[in-house]
Amino acid sequence: MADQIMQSILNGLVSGSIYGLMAIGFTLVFGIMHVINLAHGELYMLGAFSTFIMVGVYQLNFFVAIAAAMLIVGCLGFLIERFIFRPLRNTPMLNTLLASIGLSIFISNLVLKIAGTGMRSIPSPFSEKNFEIFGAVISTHRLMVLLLTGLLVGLLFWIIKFTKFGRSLRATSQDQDASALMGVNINLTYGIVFAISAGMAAMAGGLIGSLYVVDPTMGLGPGLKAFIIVILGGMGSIVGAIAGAFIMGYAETFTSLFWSASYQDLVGYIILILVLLLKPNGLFGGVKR
Amino acid sequence: MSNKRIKIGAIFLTLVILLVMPLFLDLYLVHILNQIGIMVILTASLNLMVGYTGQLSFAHIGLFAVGAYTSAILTTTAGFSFWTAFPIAAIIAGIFGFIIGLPVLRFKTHFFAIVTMAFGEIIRLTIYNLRDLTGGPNGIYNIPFPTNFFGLDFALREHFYYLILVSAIIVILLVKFLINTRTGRAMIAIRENENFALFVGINTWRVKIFAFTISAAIAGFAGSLYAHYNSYISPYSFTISESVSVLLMVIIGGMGTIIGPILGTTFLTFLPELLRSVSEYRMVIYGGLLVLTIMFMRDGILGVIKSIKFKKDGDKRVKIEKPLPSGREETTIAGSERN
Repeated sequence: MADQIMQSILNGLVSGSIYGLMAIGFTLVFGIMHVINLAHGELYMLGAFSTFIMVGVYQLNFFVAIAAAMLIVGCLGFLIERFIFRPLRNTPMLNTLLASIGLSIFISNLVLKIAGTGMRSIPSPFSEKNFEIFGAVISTHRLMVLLLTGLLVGLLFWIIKFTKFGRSLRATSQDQDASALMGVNINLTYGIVFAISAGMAAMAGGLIGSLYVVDPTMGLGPGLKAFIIVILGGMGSIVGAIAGAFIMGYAETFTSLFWSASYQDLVGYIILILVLLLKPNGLFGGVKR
Repeated sequence: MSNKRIKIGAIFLTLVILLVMPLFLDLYLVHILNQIGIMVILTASLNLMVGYTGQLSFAHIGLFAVGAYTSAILTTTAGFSFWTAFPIAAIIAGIFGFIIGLPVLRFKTHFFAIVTMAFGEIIRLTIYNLRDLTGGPNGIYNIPFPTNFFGLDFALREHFYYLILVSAIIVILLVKFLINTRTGRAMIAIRENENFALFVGINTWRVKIFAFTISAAIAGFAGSLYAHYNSYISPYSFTISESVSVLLMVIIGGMGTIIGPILGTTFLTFLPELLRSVSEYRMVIYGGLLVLTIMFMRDGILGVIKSIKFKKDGDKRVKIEKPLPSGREETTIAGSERN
């Protein structure tokens, strides 16, 4: 049992970090642009698909493929912001929520129609070698996922805290008009934020697609989960998104360990409702209401 | 006055057409009409929350499921007849709505949306996991058709049509009546500005919980009809994407109006039939339509019709109803701001 618990701790760490990758992009877009992007899961799916095509069909190097997928989906994100969310910018927030639901249905069903169902998986570039930590086993691949996620999150924090762009981001999130007057290009900033968020989702997609399978409906679950995690942690709070991601990851792994895997999703929802009832703004209360 | 007479005439004519329609149509079209009828009841219920009270609920597909399963379980295992199970399904769904409403209605805007979505999924996942009671993923088969009534044999689709028609008309009249009461006006006030409604002395909490309970009961009513019409239900009919298509029906027709959701339901059910060659792209079209509707015609089809009509009449501007309460929350990136 001790081994199993140790193994679950490790598994929770991996799934938590991937949820984190999804949730940070989601919360970034919300915190700065006040847009709830429910098509986030579909961007993740597109990331997985582009990685799959590049590695599986064109035999590219796995890391190059993931970087390229981030770039492609990032550009797509930029365009989505330009043509869907910018026209909706000063309308009620629920409009963007609904538009993004429409977008998510559109993208996932279009890919479903073009690519069809069926199991695909990205060939793993890593050796089969496993590491053993306190009796629990972790594959090179999962370890790599952890490292890459940590690296990307660190990079993002560095950008937000220390670069000029990061400063304009923070300014825009506090007051759009004032920062525009101070010479921040709001449109460009929003576009880049959306592109970063889409790129992070694409990377999560590429990493997960190589762990499990790639299919057009794979985005729905993680997309919703990112939304739940972000509300759990507090809308707009990056720290909250990371904390929420690990809470979710661990809740799920331990539910399937002690109870049953079919209750995994249920637990996430129940935690969400309990947290919201006790702390309506989420654990790290990003939104002031 | 003549305007009113035209309206009454139009309603009368529509009723007559609706009554004789199944005599002239083939069975497949009657089947589609029946589906539209059931969805009209569900969209009327959702419209009560989304369109009139301004709360974007994703829980209604779950309440629809509660109605369907209650009715199915009562008739298949407890030996109830349809005519007793039908109202019980509505009452149970209403009770569910009340219980869910207690915590859920504390939230606003996107919090409300996600929490109702969570409850919708909790209901579905619970149904999925309660294998002994609900058949789990296999669903419930052989749900009996309603027993004969006034010489109508409800095993026949063209006879079931009349049951659905009468139910839909009753529900629509109920909603119309409700909107014109004091409570209905209070609902609209909450949609327009909840704080202001509170300020002028409306007990917003009581109005919202009332609206949620009633609309849940109506959703359960529709669910019962759905179960007995199709005679088979499974958790796969009550997913989030179903919930989104029902919402789309309300929005695309024109929310906050009586006719809007009916138009939307009819349009979206017939659309794939009309475009048979591209019907595989049904969901792609739905998604695209939702984005376009939100971007370019927020008052839905009805709004477009109205604006055309008003343009003909002269330069009377259409009253633009805000689709949903606005509320741009002040946010910051807390993680970066704190340090």
